[in-house]
Amino acid sequence: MNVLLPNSLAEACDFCAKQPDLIPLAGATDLLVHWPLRQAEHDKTYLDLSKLQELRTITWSANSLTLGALTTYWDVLQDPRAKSDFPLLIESARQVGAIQIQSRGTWAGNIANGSPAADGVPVLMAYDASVALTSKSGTRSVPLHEYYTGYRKSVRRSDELISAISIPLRRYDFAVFHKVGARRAQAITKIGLAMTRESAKPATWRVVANSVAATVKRCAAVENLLHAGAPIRKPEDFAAAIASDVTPIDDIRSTADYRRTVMARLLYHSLKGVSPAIS
Amino acid sequence: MIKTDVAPTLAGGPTLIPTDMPTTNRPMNMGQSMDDNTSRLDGVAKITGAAKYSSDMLLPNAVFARFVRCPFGAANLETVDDSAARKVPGVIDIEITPKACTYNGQPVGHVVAESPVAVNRALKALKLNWKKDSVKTSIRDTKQVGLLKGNAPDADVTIRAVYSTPVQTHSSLETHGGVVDHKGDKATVYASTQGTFSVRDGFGDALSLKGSDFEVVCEYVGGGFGSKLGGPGKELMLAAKLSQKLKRPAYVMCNRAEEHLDTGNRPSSVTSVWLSLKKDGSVVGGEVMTYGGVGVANGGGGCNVPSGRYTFANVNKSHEDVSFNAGGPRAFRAPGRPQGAFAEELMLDEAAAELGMDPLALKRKLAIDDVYREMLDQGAKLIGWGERKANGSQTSVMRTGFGVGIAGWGSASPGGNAEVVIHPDGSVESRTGTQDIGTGQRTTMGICTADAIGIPLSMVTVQIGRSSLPPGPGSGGSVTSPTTAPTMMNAATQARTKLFEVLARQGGDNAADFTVKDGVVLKRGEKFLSWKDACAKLPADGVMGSASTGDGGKGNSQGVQFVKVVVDCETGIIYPKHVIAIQSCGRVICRKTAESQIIGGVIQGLSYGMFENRILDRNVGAMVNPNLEWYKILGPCEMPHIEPVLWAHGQTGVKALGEPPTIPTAGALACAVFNAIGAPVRHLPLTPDKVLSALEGARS
Amino acid sequence: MGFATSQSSMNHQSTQSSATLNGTIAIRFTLNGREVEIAVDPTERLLDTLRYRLNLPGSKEGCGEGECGACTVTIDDLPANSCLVPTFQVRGCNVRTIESIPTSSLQPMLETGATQCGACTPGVVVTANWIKEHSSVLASHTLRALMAGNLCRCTGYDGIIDGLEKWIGNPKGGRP
Repeated sequence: MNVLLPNSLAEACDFCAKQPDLIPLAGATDLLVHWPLRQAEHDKTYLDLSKLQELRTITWSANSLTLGALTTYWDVLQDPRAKSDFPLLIESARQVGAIQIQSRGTWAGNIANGSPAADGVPVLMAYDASVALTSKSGTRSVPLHEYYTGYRKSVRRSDELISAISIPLRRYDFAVFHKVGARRAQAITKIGLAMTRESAKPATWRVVANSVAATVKRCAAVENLLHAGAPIRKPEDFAAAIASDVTPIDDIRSTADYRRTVMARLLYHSLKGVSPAIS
Repeated sequence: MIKTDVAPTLAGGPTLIPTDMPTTNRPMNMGQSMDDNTSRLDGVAKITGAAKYSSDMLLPNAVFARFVRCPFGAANLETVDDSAARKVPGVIDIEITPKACTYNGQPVGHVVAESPVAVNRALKALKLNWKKDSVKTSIRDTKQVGLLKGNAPDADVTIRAVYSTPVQTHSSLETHGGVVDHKGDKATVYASTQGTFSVRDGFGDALSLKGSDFEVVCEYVGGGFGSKLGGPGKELMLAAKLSQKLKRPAYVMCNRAEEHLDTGNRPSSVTSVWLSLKKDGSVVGGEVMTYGGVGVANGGGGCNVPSGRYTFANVNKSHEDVSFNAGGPRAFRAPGRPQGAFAEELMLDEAAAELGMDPLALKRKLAIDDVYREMLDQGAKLIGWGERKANGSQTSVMRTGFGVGIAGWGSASPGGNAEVVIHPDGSVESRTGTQDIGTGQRTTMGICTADAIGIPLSMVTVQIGRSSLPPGPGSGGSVTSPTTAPTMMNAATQARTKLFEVLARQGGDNAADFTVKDGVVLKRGEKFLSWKDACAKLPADGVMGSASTGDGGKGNSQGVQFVKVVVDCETGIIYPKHVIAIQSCGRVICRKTAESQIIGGVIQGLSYGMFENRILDRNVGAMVNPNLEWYKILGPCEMPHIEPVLWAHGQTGVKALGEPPTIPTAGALACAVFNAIGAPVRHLPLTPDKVLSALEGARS
Repeated sequence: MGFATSQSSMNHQSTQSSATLNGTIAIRFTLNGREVEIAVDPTERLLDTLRYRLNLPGSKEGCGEGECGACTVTIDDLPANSCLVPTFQVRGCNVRTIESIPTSSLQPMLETGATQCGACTPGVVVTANWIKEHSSVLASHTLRALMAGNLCRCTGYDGIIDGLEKWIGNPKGGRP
């Protein structure tokens, strides 16, 4: 196993430019699961970002919140302003593992790892976050909902690192996050849902689901239903939109049927009364 | 609108854990035990991390070994190329024998090296050529189990159903294995075991030493639940062979995956039943066919239904063990009972629903004796059974359900030995080789000694968990306390009598003139000497009492459990809220450890009912969830309010407490879910998707 | 074979990533109040370093995947699963294990029966001690939620929660 220990983001980008197969390492909470058994992973080369203090920042500006790539769940839980401005970040951070994971796991790592069951990603997507990808040649910004291209695949080039996550400060009059897991804590999601509605006129809905497709997924058809103000009277009225948005599978955590059914119910019961069309 | 609950509560459901009742310091159990307030004697060692478990015996110059195991349910190891593995720095030896394997996790050899890292690297560097074979992975792969035909001619109601339970693994926090330190003519074995003496007697050639030339040490054991009974097991046998050969300490502990695959489990079960009842609830006929899923084992899949706890007339029972490609069962906390109780309790609730009876009334009628009836009446009050609504009558999203189940246990004591030494400085030593797997053995032995002599517990030191001490029973069948408590009390009484004899000889009195109360020696009822001053009259070696108990003493025990749940009918998630666990205990030695046993049994029962399930890949027979991430056990946030009720009612003798409290829990939970949603979920675990499917079935 | 050719520095704050020492990474960190200097294999988990090399077996390996919490330690004053931490990541950090927790304050955990077989207990106590030292977190988290990363197969969590409530003197803290 090779580990590179950069002392700055610039140095880290230099390493990335030279070696295309580097695996960036932040909290390591995903990488080290069953580590002694995963010998194939031991032969790879890692880039340890964990000491880059310049990435361990939470910055509030006039129109956005920027989470440096090393920001942990616990960092956000402790932030005095996060709860009022981005309550779903708090909601989801509480449900990522337990305190032992929250203290080490990072939001950027959750994005980079690319699990379709990622708990941190849906709320970021529902808040229209974008990802800053930094390389030797500079930094570009990619909307999170355009970041994934397939199962654990993304637009990040091998010479790029996630350096920050930026979340626009907007007014929301509705925000909800649901996680249905096996246990109430420390459980990987069977199905999860994050939804926001911006207060601006016309209202913009964002509906994001996890564990129901190859990636965390923005649900365009459901959003269209909501934007169109289509009348919804029961959970099943979401069925067609769900069918077009997600492709759940049967796995050891649950069944595809269960996921579709519960997604419709979570949508219906969360939204009932929120707009006049849904009752 | 921001939801703040950890788990979804839809449509204004109730708060998830409503109770703020006290959970410890339980007034209803006070005054019923020999010792209400003592905390574990080894609690400090455990809480500070000073307690050394076998897995903590990291001896200087040790070698580390791990088995090479079959990754599939059925496969033939055709060729082995270990040349690269042997070149891994630190590797000492590799032994692999090509053979046909019949379950995932079956050992074919081992790797031994200077460090755990080197072992893992060598395992990875092995080139093993496996040829996969077709697999069977469940009872149903072999047996077509359908609804049984038949009914009693005079029946008013006949129910038919098929129930099933999954494989549950023991999942002790400390895995199987240990360390053997062979020094040529002597050896020490650090074993994670439930049987100090069965380990001692099981090595044979692996150690090539007489039992008196080596010592088995297991002062602390990180759980076992049945899976660590019996002889040394393959892990310690390997450690013994390696240590003997290499003349170095050998460390062999399973990892979590190996623990799931190859250290036993509670076998799966399928139960098909028809049961005929009269309108008054009497059972007038039936047939029960049970199947036990025993993997590659030849037996051990018993499913205890009918249990004999209810009066069933003319009910025939047949059982068959079914083999397939998976690790076999071992004893697991009340073997055969929880799976049987699940079918039996839910079956009776289904019958009660057909009859239009309250299931509590039906169970009360059918229970074989008045002890159960009295417990049922008391438990019904404590849980608030009066608030129970008729099956399926609720229409809200969050629905409340009540369920009840009963338990029984009896097994004969295997006998045991104990010694008590009173020293001239007044200190007292109790010795028995039996181990403590978490039950509180060390503490109860101290309490028994102090109580029998009449001195404060602080004067007693307890030695357990060593084969050099007087032999005691294995921790199985809930016989440990019923065996060791009276034995230790006899030994203590005998040691005290010897002290009295010394005092009598010196003063020209009769030994019978003396007694001890609260650490003061009395002669004919009057204060004679302080305990210390009396003991000062002993010879330098002190006096020793020793006692043996033969077999026989039975710790028969009964119990009932009530479970209250709330079911979220939109997501199918069930929330246990409250459990009343009434357990007959006879004479309780230590209240806290007794309550702890009952609570632990309930927790494992709930965990079994809600989460636990060994899942095998149907194509290759590999376990899909050999970890604790996908093999879920109950965590602190799912804990209901559990009230253990120690039920003495004039009983004497020490009764079984380890196993009975885990018997009825999953069944009572299933009954409560049935009550809440109006449809039975007949297959454990009660996962949300099954709950929703049952609800759909009830609707259509 | 994956022996390391790490580029590391004795002092992580230096600006130069320097060369390796026999494929290992030389690190310095504070362990239970003492400075430790050790060369670690890059594949070493903190749990392995503590148990196998630094003679601190109080931290247990229950699952090796961050589920059970038996290996809990604190790193820079936050609880972490030491099975999920590459040892090289604690360079410059302050690590505390169960062995550092003063025994005198543990009495309530003992009295409520917070331990049974005891294998989960060191991890439980490390998390509990951290909560005790940071009881302000109870304004936003319940005790149960904070203890959710410590699984116990036998005792029951009530004794743990009750002990903690007594310990931190917050008798209402544990009921969500």
